This record gives sequence, C-alpha cells and structure tokens, in this order.
Amino acid sequence: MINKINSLAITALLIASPTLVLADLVVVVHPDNSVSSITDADISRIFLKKTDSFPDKNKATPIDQKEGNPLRDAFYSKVTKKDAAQLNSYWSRLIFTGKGTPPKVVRNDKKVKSLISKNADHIGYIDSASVDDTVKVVFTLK
Amino acid sequence: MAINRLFRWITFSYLLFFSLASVASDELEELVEDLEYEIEDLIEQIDERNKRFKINGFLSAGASYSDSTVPLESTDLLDEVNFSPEAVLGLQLEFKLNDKSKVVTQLVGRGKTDFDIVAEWGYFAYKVTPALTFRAGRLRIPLFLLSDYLEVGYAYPWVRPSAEVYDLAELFSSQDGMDILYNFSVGSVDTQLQLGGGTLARTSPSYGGLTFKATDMITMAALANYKSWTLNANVATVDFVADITGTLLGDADNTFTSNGAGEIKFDHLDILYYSVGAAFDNGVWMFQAEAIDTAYENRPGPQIFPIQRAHYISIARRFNRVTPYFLFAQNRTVSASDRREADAILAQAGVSPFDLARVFTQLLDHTQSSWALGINYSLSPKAKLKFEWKLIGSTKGTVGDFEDFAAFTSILGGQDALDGTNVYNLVFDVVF
Repeated sequence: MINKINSLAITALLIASPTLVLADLVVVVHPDNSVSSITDADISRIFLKKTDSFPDKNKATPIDQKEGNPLRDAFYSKVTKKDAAQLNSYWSRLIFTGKGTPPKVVRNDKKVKSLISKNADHIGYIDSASVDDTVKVVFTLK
Repeated sequence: MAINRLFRWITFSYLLFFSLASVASDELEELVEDLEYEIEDLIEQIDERNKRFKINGFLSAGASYSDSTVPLESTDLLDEVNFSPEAVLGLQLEFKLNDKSKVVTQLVGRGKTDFDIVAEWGYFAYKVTPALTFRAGRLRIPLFLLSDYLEVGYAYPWVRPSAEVYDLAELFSSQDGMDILYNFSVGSVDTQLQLGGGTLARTSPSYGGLTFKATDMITMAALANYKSWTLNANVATVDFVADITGTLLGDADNTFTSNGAGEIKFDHLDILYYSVGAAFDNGVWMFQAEAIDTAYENRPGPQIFPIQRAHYISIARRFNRVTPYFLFAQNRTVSASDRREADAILAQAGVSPFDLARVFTQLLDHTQSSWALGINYSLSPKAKLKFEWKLIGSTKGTVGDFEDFAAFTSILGGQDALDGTNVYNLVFDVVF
C-alpha cells in the first residue's frame, strides 16, 4: 500500500513538474521481435511513418505518448530533431492530404508496455525506469 | 454501451475503495491494477469509435499591402491594406469505412471569393496492400512539393508558396479521376510513386472568363526521402481545349489567324509540365528549391501563347520559436521571338499597335523576379504568426505577375510602377 502511495506521489510530482529531469528514455519492442537494436534514424522513419517496417522488413507499428508529456518532447527532439511545433507542421502536411495520420497515442508507459506485450509488431518509447520483462529495449537515448 | 460499462466500473471502484480495510494489501494492488487495465481498455474502445470519423481544420487570416497602384494578378492586391487575399478556412472530413478504405474530403472557403465553400478535393481510398493504395475522386495534381497542401499555411514557413512558380499551373491544381500510390524503401531511402489520370472542366476568371476542359490528364510523381532530404520529380500531360469564342483572346485570335500570324486557339493543345524539387530540413536549417518547365505539342505557327519557366530557392533558420527566411523566385516566358514575329506580320498588314492582337503580343510576355524576407513565430504548437516583406525586383518591361491590362496601361504610360514594388503581409496560421 505504501509502495502504491509512493508511486502515486511520484506520478503526481511528474505531472506537476514537467521540467523534472527524466531518466534515460528507451525504445522498446515485443520480446519476441527479431530486432535486437535499431538506429535513431530508423526509429525516426518509423515514428514519422516514412516507412512501415523494421530494418529486417517486418511490419512496424509505432505507439506514441500524449502531447505535452516531457518524455514525448525529449523523444521527438532527440530522435527526429523536431519540436512540438515542427512535428505538428510535419503531420499537417500529411493529414491535410489524407495521405497519412500520426501514430496511435496512449496515456502512459504502462499502456505502451501493455500494447507492445500483446502485439509483436509494435514499437514505443518509455522511461527506462518502467522497463520490465514484457518488453525488450532496442535503443537507449541518454 | 461502452460509456455505461465505464460508469459501472467507476461505481464499482468507489465501492471497492470503501472496502479497502477488509482486503489484504497485495490482493488490493492486484485488483486496482486489473481495474486500471479494464478502464483503459474501455476508454480505448471509445476512442477507436470516435476515430472512425475525424475532422481537422486550418485557418489563415491576415493583412496585406502593396505600394503599387497596379494590382497583383494572384491576389488583386494594390495600394491599400487588404484583409481578404490571405484569408482561407479549410475543413477536412475523413470517414474511415474499415481498416482498408476511407473517404476524405476537404472543404475550403477563400476570402478572395467571399468564402464560397468549395470541395477542393475529395476521394475514396482503398489500401490494396500495405504498400499500394488506390484512390478515386477529385484529386490534387502532384506537380510541386507543396501541391497536396497548397493552402495549409501552417505547413510551410512562408506566407504562401511562391506565386511566381505555383501560379504557373494554377488552372490544373486538381483533376477528377483516379490514381495509385506505391510506397517502398530501398535501404534508408523511402519512396512514394504516384500515377494518375483524369479530366477537368472549369471556368477560369482570366481573360474575361475562359471556359476550358482538360482531358487525358496523366500525372506521374516520385517523392523520395533520405534522412533530412526530400527529392521529387513530376510530369503531367494535359489535352487542353478552351472555348475562347467571344472572349478577348477569341477576338485577338481572329486577327492573328486572318493575317496568317499564328493562332491562340486552344484546340486539343497538348501541354507538358515537368518539375523537380529538393528540400532539406534538419530541424535547424531548412532549404527548399523547385523548378518547373512547360512545353506545347501540336502547336502550328508562331507561339503566341508562351512557354513558361519558373523556379524558386528558399533558406530558413530556426531559433527556437522564431524562424527567419529568405525566398528568391523567378518566372519568365520564352519564345518571345515568336510573338515579335507575329507582331511584325500584323504591323506589316497595317494592324494598329493598339489592336488587341498586337497588345497581346506584348501582354503575354511575363518575367518577374522577387526577393522576400520573412519571419515566422510559433505562438503555440498549432499556431504561427508570419510577417513577410517581398520586393518585386525586375519585370524587364513586361507585365510580370501584375494584372495584365492595368500593368500594360501603366507601361504604355511610361510609369515605372512595377519594378521595385513592395508587398507586405502579416498572416496568422492555425491548424485545429
């Protein structure tokens, strides 16, 4: 119970203080995925939907986190070299042609893991502190 | 249904909370976790249902001013502050029929046409395979890097795409037909090929209302992405038929043909457009350049109606929310000697220099170079404010991109009203 209260308090702190320094950000896939490591350039292509497959040609489905999440901002600025405005500009070019839609968005690390553990083709990013045996780390962003 | 289930779970959660004391902490944590998953799944189901129908919108609004008394062709802008040329409101509706097919349409209202709503494009798309998509309906013609989102100001750094280049093929911005999109990757190069065909019938406001029909339109486009680079190459062919009877062009054509000085008549004129473009964006620096050329086939005699060429180059640098940019653009008509030849034939036949046909031999030559310096400021991740100063540097004695007859009158009057024209724009772009 105390653990639960502690984790709730940490979550509340994170929400209230988006400038808090995050631990390492990791990109994760299903444990059975044959990909063992992936470059930031390939991650960028998958999350910007320039490609729909992993480097080994298997299908890749990116899972995004909510707008405003500091983890998301860090991920896109480091991996795709785009801030939130640039990202919106990029997606508006695809949305307003009907040619593309941004990745599916989920609420938190837990949901990213939950989806990836059920879908071998999914790829997402989470805080390294959230990693457990339901996912496999293929990239670490320091 | 899903909402009812959600309420039931919330009620259950409250009951559970009040019975905490009687449950061991480990079991409680497990129960809470299960509940969280259930609730998230239900929310996800609701989200999925909502996602079958999506509405996105964009808006541009602002003020423009030109210090010339001759209006610009593309915006009707002249020496007073005008709020309508840049005003655009667009709504995009997307209905997902199933995992493989959808219907998408974009409704656009423009300030310069009193916000009359038109379906700019709309199509049915079917994903034949993950890499191959078939589309049918009214489709944008892929002639430029920005063809697909010409009016979504938020999507590009400038106030608007270069008029010198993009207005060159404005008659053919869309077609009624079908196309296929094929996506593939070779190494780290992601490519999209687009092959389409269709027709278009429309009335252009130019030359007193020109009713035209474009058939046998074939469009081919290739777009490749590699790291920060995007390259594209496009070809479009059009079989162009326009009824110029009773228009100013028709009157002039009678003079040309009766004097054996060529013709304007658009009777199955084959027009070929080809263009290339390159863009670089590494998150800090942005570079973009495009060039387009035209060619006419089956055209007898002197080329009265001119072949046009255009290009632009732009560079921008991002400093957090502020992005200053520079844009140079130029267009010009070629085959001027053909029109001089036609003019000489008409002069020899005793046609007055003020006859419409002879005026057209001057009017149809267009050359314009412009320089623009601008800055855009990101107000929020979905809104930008842009300011641009554009200097129309040189028109080389032609009417440039100014309104033809007003510009020609100005040139005849010896007024130097065109070169050195300053155009100022302040525009607010938002997506929602």
